[in-house]
Amino acid sequence: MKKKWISIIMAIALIAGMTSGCGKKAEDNNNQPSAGENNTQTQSGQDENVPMGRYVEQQLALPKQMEGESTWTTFLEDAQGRKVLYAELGGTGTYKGYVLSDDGTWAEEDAPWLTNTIGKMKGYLRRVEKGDDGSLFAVFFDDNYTAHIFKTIDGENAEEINIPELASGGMERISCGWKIMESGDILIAYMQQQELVLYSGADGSELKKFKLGKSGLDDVNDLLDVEGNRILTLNEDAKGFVVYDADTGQQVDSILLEEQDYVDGIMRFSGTQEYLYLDPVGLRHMQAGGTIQETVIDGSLCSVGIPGIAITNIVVGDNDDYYVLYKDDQSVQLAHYVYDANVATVPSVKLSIYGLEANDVIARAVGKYQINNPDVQVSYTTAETDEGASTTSDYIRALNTELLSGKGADILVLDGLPVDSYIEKGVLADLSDILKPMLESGELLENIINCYADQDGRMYGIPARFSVPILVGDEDVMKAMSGLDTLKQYAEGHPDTPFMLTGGKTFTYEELAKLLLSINYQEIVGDGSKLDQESVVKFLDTVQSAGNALGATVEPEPIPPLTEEEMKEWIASASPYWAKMNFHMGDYPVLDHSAAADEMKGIDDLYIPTTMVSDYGKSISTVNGLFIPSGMIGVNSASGQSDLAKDFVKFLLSEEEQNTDLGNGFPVNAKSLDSWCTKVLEYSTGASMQINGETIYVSADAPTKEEITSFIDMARELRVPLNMDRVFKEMILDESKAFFAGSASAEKAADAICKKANTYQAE
Amino acid sequence: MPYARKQTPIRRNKNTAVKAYLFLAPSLLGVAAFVLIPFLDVIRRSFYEAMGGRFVGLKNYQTVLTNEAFHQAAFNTGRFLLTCIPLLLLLSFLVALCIQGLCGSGEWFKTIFLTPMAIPVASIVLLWQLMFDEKGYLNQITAVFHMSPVDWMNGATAFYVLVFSYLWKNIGYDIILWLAGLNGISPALYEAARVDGAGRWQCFRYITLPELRPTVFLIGVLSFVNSFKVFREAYLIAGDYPDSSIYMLQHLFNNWFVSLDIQKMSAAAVLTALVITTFLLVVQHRNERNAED
Repeated sequence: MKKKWISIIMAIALIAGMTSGCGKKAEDNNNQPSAGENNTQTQSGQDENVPMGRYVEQQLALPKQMEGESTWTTFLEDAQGRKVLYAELGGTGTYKGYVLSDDGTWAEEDAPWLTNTIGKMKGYLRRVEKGDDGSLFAVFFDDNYTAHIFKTIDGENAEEINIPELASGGMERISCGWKIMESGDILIAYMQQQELVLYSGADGSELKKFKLGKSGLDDVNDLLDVEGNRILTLNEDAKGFVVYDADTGQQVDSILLEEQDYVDGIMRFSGTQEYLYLDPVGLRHMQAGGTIQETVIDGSLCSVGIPGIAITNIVVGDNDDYYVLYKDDQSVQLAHYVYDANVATVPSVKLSIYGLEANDVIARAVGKYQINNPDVQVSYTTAETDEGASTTSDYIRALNTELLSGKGADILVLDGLPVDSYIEKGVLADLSDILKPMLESGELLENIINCYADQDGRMYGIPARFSVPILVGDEDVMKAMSGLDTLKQYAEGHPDTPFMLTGGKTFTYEELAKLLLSINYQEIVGDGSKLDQESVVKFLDTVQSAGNALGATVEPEPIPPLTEEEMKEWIASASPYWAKMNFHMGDYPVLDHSAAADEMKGIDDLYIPTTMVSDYGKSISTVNGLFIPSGMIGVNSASGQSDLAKDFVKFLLSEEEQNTDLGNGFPVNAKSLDSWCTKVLEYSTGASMQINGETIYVSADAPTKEEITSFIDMARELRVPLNMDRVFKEMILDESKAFFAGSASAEKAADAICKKANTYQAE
Repeated sequence: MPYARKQTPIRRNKNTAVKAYLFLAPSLLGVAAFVLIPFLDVIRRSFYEAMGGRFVGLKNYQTVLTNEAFHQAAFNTGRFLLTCIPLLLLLSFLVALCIQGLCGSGEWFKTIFLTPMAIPVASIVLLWQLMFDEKGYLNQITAVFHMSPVDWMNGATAFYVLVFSYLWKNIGYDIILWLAGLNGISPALYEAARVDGAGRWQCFRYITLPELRPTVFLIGVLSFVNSFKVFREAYLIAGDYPDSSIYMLQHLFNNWFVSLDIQKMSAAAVLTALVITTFLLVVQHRNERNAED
């Protein structure tokens, strides 16, 4: 009997334990809104327990006088507590100050302390800051790269601070940070030596030294602050900050930032016992001696978190408000953050976006959309995780599981996803109700958008941007490269004249195969119903002939022995960029009978190609009418927020959003593309290359308006999207390796490719 | 004397059955939630469009049965099963017989043969790449004899590499099962046979083989189930689209899932389950009939 009761009690305990978790989750799910559910709630309908209050962003209009004129800007609070915007107008050496009043208007005043000193010097202004002693100071680098610090107390006259070591430093001792302490002493950071040196304000003699963490930045002023006798600076591994006592030289506090691989933002003292840190994640407050960080402004809900934004400065207002000056695609913006107790802490309406890879165009649109719609929170998640963790197919399977259960994100970024299958299965909603009016009004590029309409005019996915693959060089070579037969003929007819310049490194057959597959994809794959063995053999033979003419190798060049630092730098700069380049090969075609392939993603990319035309007599041509779409976007037909999702798509394609040029591709908005024709670029660039053992330097001036317009006219004629099937591409490139290595004939390799491809198609 | 409640046989059987079901209930619930109910959903989906919207009857089955990729995958899977399972049963039986004949050192051999089962799949894949890659050890050995290198995982040889992989991994497990079966035969039968003048071959033919019939069925079923696991090695080495000789049903299902062809996948899964169930039922029925005889 006893045993029976023990068994019953244990069985009940087991069942209760198993079912208790289920009940809790179900209640939580009922309370929380999630993607795919209609959770529009108005303020009046909100639960009383919903937390309220958060910082809301307002864009402040800059002084009208600055529109299109200013070349340099900063914003600070002067000793009188005035919020002042300093700007140099039109490169004239004349500086003006604009004082912000409470009603948002600006009062202009002269800044003679700048105009009469640095305005008359040759070089460039690096910083204008407020000293802790109530002064203002400017840091100016002359043409010899020597730093000069000019300080003013009255705002009228300025004097150069004499620091002998600063004047004599030269290239071996370049300063990268400058502060004035309350005592008038000057704190200067030196990049190469990784140290902070405190100099006497009286005679410029050295007083003390402190350690500076290695950040790799050439300007650490944002990561440096002084208050009273305390110095705030980067810690040794540049993942946090330390505070030094300037009098004793001892470290008095340390602040570690959460989840940071490196610091990249603005760090400031905020009163005696607090610090604030602003970066794309948001604005965080930290207590001295503590470890808890309070996020005051969520970067994901405002401008600071938008990709491409460069934060310039932050000024704390008088009423716990904040002013942030930032640059967005060469234009300066000033945001004002004010706490609003009547706004929900977290927006009640949620919209979700999912893509395989992060796309800056989409991320920017998310940020801007949230600013325009403060009651909407857009969460943009991607499948990208640590390298090697999962394959693309695994991510797609996970997404498909959600789609099958009627969930999944409201908006899908379709790059890399099986779009045709999704359209066939009805996963994507028809967007023609929003796109047709935009097409008819001429707002969208019809040559691009019409490629995505089916025979009934329905559109399920369209790109947010597109890039233009080009060939630049001699016309005979470019003509030959446009087709497999012509290229093979040309390569075999000119075995001693490489039609592409390697710039010191050798091409591999795989690189060449990737490029020629992109150019001739339609010819090789056809309509995709069945891969023709003859076409594949022709492709392989052409790659081999072209590779032989270029001295291509099977394996890539071995990397020369590099130090750990050099390797890190190489990986950081080259690897992610080159890995994503689909259409880039060959160095600048400065010799006769040569060409290069490149992918134009913005006006900045036109520098070298237009220089090849104007200075070297070369030509530019598009490639078989191809364009490369990116940021393909579609709306989940099962979304409970389809109206909101379509509104976001409309916003993404709007002129306002498409005007930005960050090198992510050309806009599909026709009006934006027109405005890009009038872009004025003011810098020059250049590059050096090795040709036959000789170093040739190519300098490139900004493309003229006519050159930009001519190129954009070419872009308007493109009508063939380069949508390489990921599976086909992998099959062709993988199986062709044996042929290029010489271990299989072209027919055998083509047979292997076709068998796999036909199995894929048969599915 | 305390009163002892008397139970009738029927009530005792019923009580026993209830207790048995209570003990089975948690496991049964788990299997139902994670296997049976999802499979019922798969059967349902096989009669509907991909996203479950419209009933289409047997259209999905028709599509699958006329699909070239399905034919290829089914053929390869059937070929693999018909090659591997008899080979595995035979080889493992022979090795088990040899091990049973050894006295002390048999334990060492058991351990050696069981070791491949303990190696993780990822390690096996790495091992196979080292062995069978075009620049792998096997080609380096054949190069000594001036033979040109072979890409073992691409081409007709891929099938045999997979067969070898399956045999190598599972032989130990089957040996253990055979040994259990062999040890389950009463020694008295052999003694009686020897008394009657039976030789070793006669003992093997008239005692060992008949007594192992139930074991054959069990080992056959388990080997059959394990044969589907070889997909892991094939997938990790050769990816979504391996050589056509090792393109199995699981590859096809995997790829259909990626392209969201759930309706085809469901129909093919139901067809596959039907074929396997029918086959097992037939074999079980014959086995039971032979046992009765």
